[in-house]
Amino acid sequence: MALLKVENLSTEYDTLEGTLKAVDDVSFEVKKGEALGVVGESGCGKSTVMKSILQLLPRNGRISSGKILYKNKDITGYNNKQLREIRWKEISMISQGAMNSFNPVYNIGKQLIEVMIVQGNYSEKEARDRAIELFEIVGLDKKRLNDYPHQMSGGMRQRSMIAMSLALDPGLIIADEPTTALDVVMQDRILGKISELQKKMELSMLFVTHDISIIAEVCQRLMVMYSGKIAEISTTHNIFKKPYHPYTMGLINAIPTVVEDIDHLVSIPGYPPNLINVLKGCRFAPRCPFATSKCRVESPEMKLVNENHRAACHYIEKADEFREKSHRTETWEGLLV
Amino acid sequence: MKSKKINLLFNDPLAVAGIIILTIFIIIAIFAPQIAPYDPNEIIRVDGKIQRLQRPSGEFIFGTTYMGRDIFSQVVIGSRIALRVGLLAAIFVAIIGTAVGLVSGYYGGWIDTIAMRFVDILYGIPFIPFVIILVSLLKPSIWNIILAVSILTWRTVARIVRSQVLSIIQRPYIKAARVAGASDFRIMVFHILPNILPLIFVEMSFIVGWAIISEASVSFVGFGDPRVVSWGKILHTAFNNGAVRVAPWWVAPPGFAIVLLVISVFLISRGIEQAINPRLRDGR
Amino acid sequence: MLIFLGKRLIQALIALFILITIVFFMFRLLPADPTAAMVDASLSPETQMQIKASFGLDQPLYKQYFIYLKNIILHGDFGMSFFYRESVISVLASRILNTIILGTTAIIFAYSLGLILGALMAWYRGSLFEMSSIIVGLFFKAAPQFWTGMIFLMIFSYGLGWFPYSGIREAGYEASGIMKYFSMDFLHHLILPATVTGLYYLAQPMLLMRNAMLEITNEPFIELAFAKGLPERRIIFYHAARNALLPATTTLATKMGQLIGGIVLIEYVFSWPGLGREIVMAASRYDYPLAQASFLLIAFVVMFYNVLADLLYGFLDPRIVY
Repeated sequence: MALLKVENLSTEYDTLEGTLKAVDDVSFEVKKGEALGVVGESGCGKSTVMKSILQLLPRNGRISSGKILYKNKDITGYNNKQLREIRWKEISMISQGAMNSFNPVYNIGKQLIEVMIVQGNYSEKEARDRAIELFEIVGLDKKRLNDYPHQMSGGMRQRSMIAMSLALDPGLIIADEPTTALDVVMQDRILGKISELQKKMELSMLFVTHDISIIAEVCQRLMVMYSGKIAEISTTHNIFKKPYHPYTMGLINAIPTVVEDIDHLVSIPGYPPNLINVLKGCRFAPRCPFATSKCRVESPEMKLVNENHRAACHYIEKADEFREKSHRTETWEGLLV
Repeated sequence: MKSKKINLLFNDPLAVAGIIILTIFIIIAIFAPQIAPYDPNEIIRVDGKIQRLQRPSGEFIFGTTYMGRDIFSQVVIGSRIALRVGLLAAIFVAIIGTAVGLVSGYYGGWIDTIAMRFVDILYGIPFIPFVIILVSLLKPSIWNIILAVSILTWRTVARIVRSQVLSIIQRPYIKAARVAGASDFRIMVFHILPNILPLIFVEMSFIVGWAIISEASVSFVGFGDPRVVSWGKILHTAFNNGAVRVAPWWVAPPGFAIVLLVISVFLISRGIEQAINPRLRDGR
Repeated sequence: MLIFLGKRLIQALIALFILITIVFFMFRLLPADPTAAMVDASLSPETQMQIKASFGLDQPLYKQYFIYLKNIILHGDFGMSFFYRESVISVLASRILNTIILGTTAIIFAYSLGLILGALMAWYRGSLFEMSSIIVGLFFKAAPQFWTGMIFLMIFSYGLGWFPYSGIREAGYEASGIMKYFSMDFLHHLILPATVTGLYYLAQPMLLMRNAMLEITNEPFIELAFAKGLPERRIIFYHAARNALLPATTTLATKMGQLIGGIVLIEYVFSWPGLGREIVMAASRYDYPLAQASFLLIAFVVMFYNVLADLLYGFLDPRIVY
């Protein structure tokens, strides 16, 4: 059964230049106990998807159509009071561990306890005990509860953030680039921790990141977004083994050591398109080495590759050939000429 | 570049409103004797009877005082003093403050230390009490009020100019000028000063408002120039004659004149500030 | 922390010392003859000299200066008031407290209202509420305090009869000691002058708070606070406003200094028996020991608040290390 089901979600922002469709007709689901990774370049709409679910869109943003079903209830029309019933109790988040995810003027313990008292009806004492327990779970000394955010290292802050996200036993945890601000070693440890907890506690997670390489470790399933739309979605295993969308191929090729038979790293040249005046056709076409005239005119439908693998490309049947070519640097560089 | 900034100023509706109000005040001040229907000190009699505390009417637009003087004429004439005090104080303060700030920032070292410590001490001096005492010791007059205001107020300009000088002095062209053998004076006046001039203008317009309020305050507590009619003095006389109880028309007009004039210079300085500082322009 | 405090105090003391010196010479060297006020010209020259001698005015200037300094530092003695013919300190003792109470009430009023309005202005930016707050703030900033005082007297005291129009307590009201300041009567007299003073200082904390809040509302921890499902009021005040407090609060020192300086006018309008009113009275009577002492005490209060605010700064922001 799907815990979270997003159906045909579109989200827009009003900007000075016009309306920007950041998320365009996106559908996916997160099952109970599974972690779904959402990957894409900045501006692909992954953060907007996350903010739409949490209903944390800025003032100029709104969900223009679609449904977000959480435990079979559409939460898109919820008012503030109803939302507060969902927030943190049902859906919590792990935000970037940068300094300002925690309020700089209160110590970490206070911020952990706050949510338990205000949202979870814990007593002061119960909340404190729970905070200590949570700190143990994420591997922090309970003395650290009295630290202010600036007194902690990035890794400790990130652990505290994970502890906080677990505080009220939420049904779903949304992790927003939880390791971006960390150095590589620390990134590895935090990912290990998240992955360990996810498996042990059977957490349902939505894991948003721009770095496809870290998904493999944490997520069972993976969704690749490009320019506000889903490019490809399947199990992590399938996608890494046999990507069907040229964009996914490009992303995977950009990871060091995953694919052995390429001479060196290949990154996708160019930039994502402007989302205000959307062009006809496939949005990836201008950067796609395999694009045909059809791609430039006709927008591809989501196609079923197999039971749980979908990709939005006109040529999924040619995927094997594309995959082969995609390993070669010339394929991508030829584009620049 | 310059004209572009001036254009920006004129594109800001609030700044334009400020400029219009200020211009009206300046016109009133220039033609005050022609505009005022009476001599502000004239005791008006009709059929030999003194026109005491007349309510506003067609004859006396703002009514009359206890001594039978025309309040409208007093307010009109008072604009001259307000503008004179405001502008002169601003000019003096700008000159002293800029000179100290330039020298202090440019030479640094002990000159800077002494100047800035002195400024610190000036910051500890309570403004209105100082002006009252100095004016009372020097005998009340417009010039002494301007002097007292200037003696204390240059502190803000000096600080601002100094901190600007410290950053400008690091720029390559200053170093180049120095290598080329330009004198210190030349560098300060021709290379550094033009860069801080807009900021000095912003400060000056603040000081205009500040000086006008100060003159009114000092006159209000009875240390005004006895020979002139100023808004503060009108209010001083009104207060001492119990106008608060009996004659609201005597209290309101000079106060509103001050408010309008001060707001107009606020708006202008805000406009200049935004024109020279693009960061303030977008968004907020 | 202690070292910082010590340094700060020494700085303040040096400034105070220089100020005392400047003030002393200012009074002695400027053209007005302060003795004229108390020595009747019709008296015989011998009697005139006698009176001058009784105030130490026959000594050479530098000696007068050292005697003056010695008396202030060793005995807290600012001399005799020419007018009251008693020691300046006993004249001013109650005045100091009156001024501090009025000033503190006013600044607390200005800052609590200003900070709350500023926080809400940023939160509801672009609203009618924001616009009207700015207009109100600017109006009272541009209006001279004494004039606002007169207008308020006209409306609230003479017009509506809600508040007394002068002084600090009703004639014949009996109370002693500290209870004088906790009576309803005293409070009743305090409200109008404190409100008028506070309104004049409202604009700055309000606008600074608004700008700081605008920055803070974009911080990730505010988004997280929403995600945590906290009530909006708690997010505005406990999370956002608490962080935006610093820039506005750091101006409290200079503002309190300005406020105490400008309180002269309010005390004059409301006949509030404080230091500021005493300065006006003493200056117009050429009672220079009294004027001088009132002035120095005001300066002292100003410096006291400066030091206090520096300490407050550290208390509000745990990231500050002295």
